[in-house]
Amino acid sequence: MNNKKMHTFKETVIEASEKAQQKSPPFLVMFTEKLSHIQGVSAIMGIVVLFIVLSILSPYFLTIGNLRNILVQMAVVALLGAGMTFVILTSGIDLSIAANLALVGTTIGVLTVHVGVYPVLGIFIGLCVGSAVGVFNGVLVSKAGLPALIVTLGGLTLWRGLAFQVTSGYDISGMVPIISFIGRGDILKIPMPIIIMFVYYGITSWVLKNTKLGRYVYAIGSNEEAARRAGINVSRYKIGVYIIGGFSAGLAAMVLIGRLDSSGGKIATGWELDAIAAVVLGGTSLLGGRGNIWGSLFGALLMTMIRNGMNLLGISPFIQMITLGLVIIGAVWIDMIRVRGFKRSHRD
Amino acid sequence: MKRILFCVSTCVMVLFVASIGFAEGSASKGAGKVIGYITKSASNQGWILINQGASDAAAGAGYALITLGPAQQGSLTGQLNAMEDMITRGVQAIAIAPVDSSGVAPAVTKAMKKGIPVIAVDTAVEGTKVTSFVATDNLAAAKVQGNWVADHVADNGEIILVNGLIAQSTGRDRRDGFLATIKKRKPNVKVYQVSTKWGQEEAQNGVEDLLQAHPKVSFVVCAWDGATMGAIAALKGKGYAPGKITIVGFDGAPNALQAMREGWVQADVAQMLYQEGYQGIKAAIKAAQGQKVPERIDTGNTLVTPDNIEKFIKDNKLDVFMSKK
Repeated sequence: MNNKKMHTFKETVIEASEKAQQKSPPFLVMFTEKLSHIQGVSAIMGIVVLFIVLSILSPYFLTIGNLRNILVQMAVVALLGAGMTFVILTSGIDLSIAANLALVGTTIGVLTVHVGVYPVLGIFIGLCVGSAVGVFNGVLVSKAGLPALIVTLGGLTLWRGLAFQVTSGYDISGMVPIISFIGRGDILKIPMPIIIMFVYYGITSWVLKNTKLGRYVYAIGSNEEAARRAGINVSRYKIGVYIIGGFSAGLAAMVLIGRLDSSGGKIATGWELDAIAAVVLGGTSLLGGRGNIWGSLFGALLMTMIRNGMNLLGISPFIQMITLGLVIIGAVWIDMIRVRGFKRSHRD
Repeated sequence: MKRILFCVSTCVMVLFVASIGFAEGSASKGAGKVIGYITKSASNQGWILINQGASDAAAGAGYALITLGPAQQGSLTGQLNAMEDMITRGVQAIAIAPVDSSGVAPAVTKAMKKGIPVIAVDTAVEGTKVTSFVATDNLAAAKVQGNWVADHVADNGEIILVNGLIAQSTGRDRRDGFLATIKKRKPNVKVYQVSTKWGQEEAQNGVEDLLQAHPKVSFVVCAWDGATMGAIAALKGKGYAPGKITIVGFDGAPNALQAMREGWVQADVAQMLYQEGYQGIKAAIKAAQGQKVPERIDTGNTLVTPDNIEKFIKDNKLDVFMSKK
């Protein structure tokens, strides 16, 4: 009897908590914890849900041909998204990326179809033009200190106007064989756009993870001032990410004009917003410093699946727009909750 | 120092407000023979033809033509701003190709109230009166499309119909005209519809998806030739040969006609696009001179097939637009 009375309240509590810590947490808690570590988990969840829903609603959805269509149709936005990821990771933005695509597309079109330049040279020049626009963006943002939003907002109309000017407003119909192959050809039955998309994502994700550029991109996005004081040449790397954005636009342009088999100033109008949506849906923060590139792929996939489903079910394009808007807002919201919860549970 | 700044800024504000008042007042006093023409945006070949007709009409009558288009294709605000500018400049008449049939109504009402005649070109204005509407009768033209398809499609055939933007009268009329005709003559034909905002990529994706889901489709009917080009790209992407699936276009745009020469397009209901622009500006000039103008001018249509395509191209002076292959 005496022993029991010796236990103070405090000791009882300590004993109880020691016992509790020895038990492993329930599976569901562990699962959600693991999930919250995955970037872009909301996009992946959305894809899984949509996959199930569309398979039930339409008998045509779950066919190899349709799934192949989705992968092909998402390629251009995915490529833009890859470039956009680098820019957004540094807390920048590139609203002109789609207009850049149009400029490169019309340049390649005019050079290879009208002027008759060697196709490979035309492609090379096109990629240079896209990267040059990237240099333009990067220099103005990092050296002149202009806000990225403004520089690229101006670029949105500037580059597209130039694209129209280059073609005098006409569309160029019928691309040269190598471009047609890029857009509509296949290797071992896999369409080229899909191959290009995965290869590019493989390369860029390797760059982000394993190179100095990748590490510095995250550093600049997390805290630019601290990065500068740590001796990182912030200007150089900022210009670098905009060049990557521009190059991505050039690559995307080739795939798009190959698919359309035509080129003109109005291609990809508004797709800069799709690119940003893909990046955001993928879990990359618009404030920079956090995110990964494969998330952007999932973001592009989600958006294309929605559009594909709407086409198969014959739903009006206005409902499509409403749905996409709600999905984007919802996904960012879920991601915010995830990040806050993550921070909270790891505060100590 | 602060007082001087205050006085100066007040004077500037007063002058600014006064100038607005003056501008409003001097609106319709612009001298000279000037017609305002607001386009949808010359980014597809059909529109280049319309605009050519417009400028020729103005030049022929000795009038200056101010052509303004929205900076972004499909931008309603862009067109509304352009209307405001035209009214301020005091043009004698305005011809407009509305991006949105109802959206431009307020600006049109304003112009008409100021005594500036407004002619709607290619797409109707809804919700307010205009001096005249010059366009293809899209319902009638779509019926021609429907009848050609009904003549050639199997009784239980399957068709993909690519629609334009239903918010515009043009989009609605072309869809309704086609569907009414095909449903009446071949009621057992299945029609799968794609809805777009007049975007060529949207059309291509829609045709790809529906073709994948319904492999028995034998016809793709398009509400405009941008969709025709998108459908062709979709077929090329699937490795189909020209003619394996019948494509029926609308507009008679040069690139679609070239595709017809190559065997991709079997019929195209051509609008007299040059006439739309030409008759539109001619009507605007007549109205500006105080003459009476018919409320509806139908510029007609022509069914183009490989049999009469060369004659059509020659008659409409389209040679210069055809690509040199």
